[in-house]
Amino acid sequence: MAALALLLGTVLGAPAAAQGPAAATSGPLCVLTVAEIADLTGLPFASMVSGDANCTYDGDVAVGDVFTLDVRLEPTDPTIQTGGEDDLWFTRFDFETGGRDLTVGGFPAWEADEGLWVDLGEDVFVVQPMLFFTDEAPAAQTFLVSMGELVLSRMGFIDGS
Amino acid sequence: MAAERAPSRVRLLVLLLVAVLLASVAPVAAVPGPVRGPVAAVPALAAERVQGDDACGLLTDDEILRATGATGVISASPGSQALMTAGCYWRLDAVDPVYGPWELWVGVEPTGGRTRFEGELAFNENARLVAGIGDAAFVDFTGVWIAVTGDAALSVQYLGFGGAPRPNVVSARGLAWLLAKRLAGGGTAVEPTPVPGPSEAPVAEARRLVEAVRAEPFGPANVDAVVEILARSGIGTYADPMAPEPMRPVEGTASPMTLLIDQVRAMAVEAWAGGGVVGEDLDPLVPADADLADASSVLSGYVAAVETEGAAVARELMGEPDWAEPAAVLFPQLVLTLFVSDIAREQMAEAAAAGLADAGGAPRPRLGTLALLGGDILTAQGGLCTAASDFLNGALDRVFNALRLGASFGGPILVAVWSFVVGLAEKAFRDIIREITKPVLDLIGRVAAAAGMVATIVSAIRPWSLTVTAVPAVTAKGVGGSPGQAGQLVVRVDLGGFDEWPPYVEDCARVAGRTLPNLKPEGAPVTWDALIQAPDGLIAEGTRQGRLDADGVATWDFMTLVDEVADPWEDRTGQVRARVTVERPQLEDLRRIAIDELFGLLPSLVRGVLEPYLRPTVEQLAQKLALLISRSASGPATVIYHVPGATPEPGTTPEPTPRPAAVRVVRDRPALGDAVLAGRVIELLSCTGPYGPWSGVLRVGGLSLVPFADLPLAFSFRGVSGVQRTHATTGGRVPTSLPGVDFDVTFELDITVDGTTMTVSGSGTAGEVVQGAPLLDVGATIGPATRMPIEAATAGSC
Repeated sequence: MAALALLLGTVLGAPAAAQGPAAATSGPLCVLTVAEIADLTGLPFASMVSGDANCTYDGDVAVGDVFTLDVRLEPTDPTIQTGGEDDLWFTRFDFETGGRDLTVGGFPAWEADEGLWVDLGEDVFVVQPMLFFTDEAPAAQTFLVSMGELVLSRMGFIDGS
Repeated sequence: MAAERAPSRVRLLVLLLVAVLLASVAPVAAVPGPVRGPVAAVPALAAERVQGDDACGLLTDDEILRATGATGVISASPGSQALMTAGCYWRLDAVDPVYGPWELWVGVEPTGGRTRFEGELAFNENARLVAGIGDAAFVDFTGVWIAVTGDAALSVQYLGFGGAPRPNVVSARGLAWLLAKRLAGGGTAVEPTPVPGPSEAPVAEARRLVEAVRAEPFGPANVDAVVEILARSGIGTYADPMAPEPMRPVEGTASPMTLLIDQVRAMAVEAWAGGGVVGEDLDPLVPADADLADASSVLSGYVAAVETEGAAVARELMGEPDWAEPAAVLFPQLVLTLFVSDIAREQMAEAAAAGLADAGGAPRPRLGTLALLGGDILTAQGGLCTAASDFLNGALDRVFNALRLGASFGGPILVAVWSFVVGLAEKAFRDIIREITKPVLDLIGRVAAAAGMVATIVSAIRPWSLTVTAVPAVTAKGVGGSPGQAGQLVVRVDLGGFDEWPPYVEDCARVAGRTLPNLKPEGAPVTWDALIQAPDGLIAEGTRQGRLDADGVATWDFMTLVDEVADPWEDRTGQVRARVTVERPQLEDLRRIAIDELFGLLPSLVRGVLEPYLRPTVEQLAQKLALLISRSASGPATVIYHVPGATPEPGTTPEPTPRPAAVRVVRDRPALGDAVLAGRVIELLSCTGPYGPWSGVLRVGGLSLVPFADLPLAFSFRGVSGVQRTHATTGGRVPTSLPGVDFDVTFELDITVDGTTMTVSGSGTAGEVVQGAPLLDVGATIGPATRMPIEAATAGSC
């Protein structure tokens, strides 16, 4: 859980712009505003909800904007013994479609149709959009990496630009 | 608040268990289910779209297709899922039809769901909490998403393999997120557009309910299932004679038939055990002219031909008995009750349509006979016995009124019944009235009244079930050097775990100064009638026991004979029937309690216009009550015999194709990536038909580190027709390719047959054993039920 501890420490000094429109929705992973998410995806995201280790951005379902995007940290599986170089072995298996290996901020990562997974060491950073309910959805690969890099930079994992 | 992620060994153990369920996504022979038409979006609070147990309106077809990538919605079946109050089960067209259909289960607990969620979370102590879905959510070991929003809980399980555009976990997560939004009051919901299918919708529900009735072991859940069956047919079940409301609200038009919970419990035990009243014991209750039909024929017409939910339940319960001999058919009291209720409700509807002011009686559980006869007579005695008598006679009074004997209407149910009866008569070359004339209407009404009386009275005073079964259900004569087979006819008294008389019966006994029989059946004398064999020469009779043992069981051994038939031969199906009487001590006391105390008003109820129709029935019933309580018969025990395999002469009618003696079920699992290998995971054989003893293997493993391993599996069923259910356990040690590491697994399985398909469900536990020492245990439900067609076994299998 080192990354989470690091994260919690880092967030205390996160940029003001990352605090979101309402205090109730601020949290360690809510480092992008709703407007920034909307801008990156081109979809009218309307709200965000913070968890201890995630941030969920939602469209306004009441007006038919049925889409959501989750940014989170997941602990890695300490028992994985795959012989590979990272903790993304199951991820590659589970999320195969459109998948490719890459690095994000120097960390090994897996990008696929269904999301972005970045191996931070003891945690895995995940961006998972679920846009399949809408016809307006952009291809995930058009924004996943840039979104991931922006979040990780604000969290202090990588140098921001 | 991310909890510990399940370690990979745990994943492997869970996969070892749930990989069995992967078979359920393989193609299965068509299983009927309700098919809904297209759905149209309308603004509404989604929570309001959960109607009763129907949660199908929470998602549109379009949303499901978008989330799953399926190419179409095959069916949407409303009803409870995941033990939640409401739900829906969708079958979806797979992208690759080889792997279809895909399946989606949604359960919803609209209120009180938070408690349920917290309970589920406590049970799944290693579950990983997932933020962003409702107020809280997690995924259990089997991949079921469970979420809570406000006080509503939901569950989502999705299985779609073969060409799915995204992982199941993503589809399920997306749907869980959307459902949580909907249940929180956001968004649009859909207005279901029900397409009244012919008989498919009742069949699916009827199957579910009968499976619940037949579940092992017998307990309160079985009784609850019968209460639900009755409520869905408008019949209220009351906790006691003075209860103002039924225990479960009735659906549709309230039936004049009402029952006490003790009666329903007795019916449930009987239906679970496979008992019933023999048609030939019902026939004398309704004397009929030669150009009409026996009571058992009329009842057969209801079970075989009527399209109501009650009749659908009856079919699932009874299967396909030999309708050519209705007098030999066992009719459970539950079926008698559904029959009389459906007939009465139809008459009420027809009367209302005709503009008659008194279209029949709504339930008046406390005032039936009091209103009829004047309360002073009954209330002078007071007490539970009087209240029960009032309740029971009131129900019969309302039924009699609703049946409108002498002035009854036709209707779709009556027409369907009589059409079937006419068909039976034609096959038997009997000449009966074909048209729906007054005598026919009166006959059906009298049979309904008689069925109502029998079910009401017997269930009120006989809390046990008396059954006779053949073990095994199917045997075969010897042939070609193989010997005959041993079997037993088993008579059993089941109390369903209850050891006390219903309180009102005890009170009536006290009022009458009579002694009730001891409920425990041990030592009761058993009288066996001569066996009926058709054709003759099927079996040789062996030793028979004359008293019930401590378990309430007595047996009669037999051995099938040997056919001296030269090869090649053909199989034919013969039948053996047994009738038995179990004399309980103080039976006459019990009969007098029923006639004098509980149903003493019955003769008064049938005076006036009803007298010519029902007086003979009431008189017969009084005489034969002891018989109805103490006699039972086996369903036909099947004995396979053999005839020379000659080609029929041209112009002759060939023998009907016999039911195959040797049958099997198999399930071939598709591969899932590199982790789960394709393979045959279930392989079972019965040498004596679908209801015979089964044996074979449950094949587990087939994972990247766990080779396939066979677990032996053997079981048999209690009954020989309809939906039958049993429980089986298997397990063993499964080696892995890791040095010194094995897995110990145990499966608890519920197995159901209906004559053409077998369904397997259950749960398992798996433990890791390293160098012989147990280290880690996990448990998992084996997902949704796996249904497999029963097919003829390959030659030489038996």
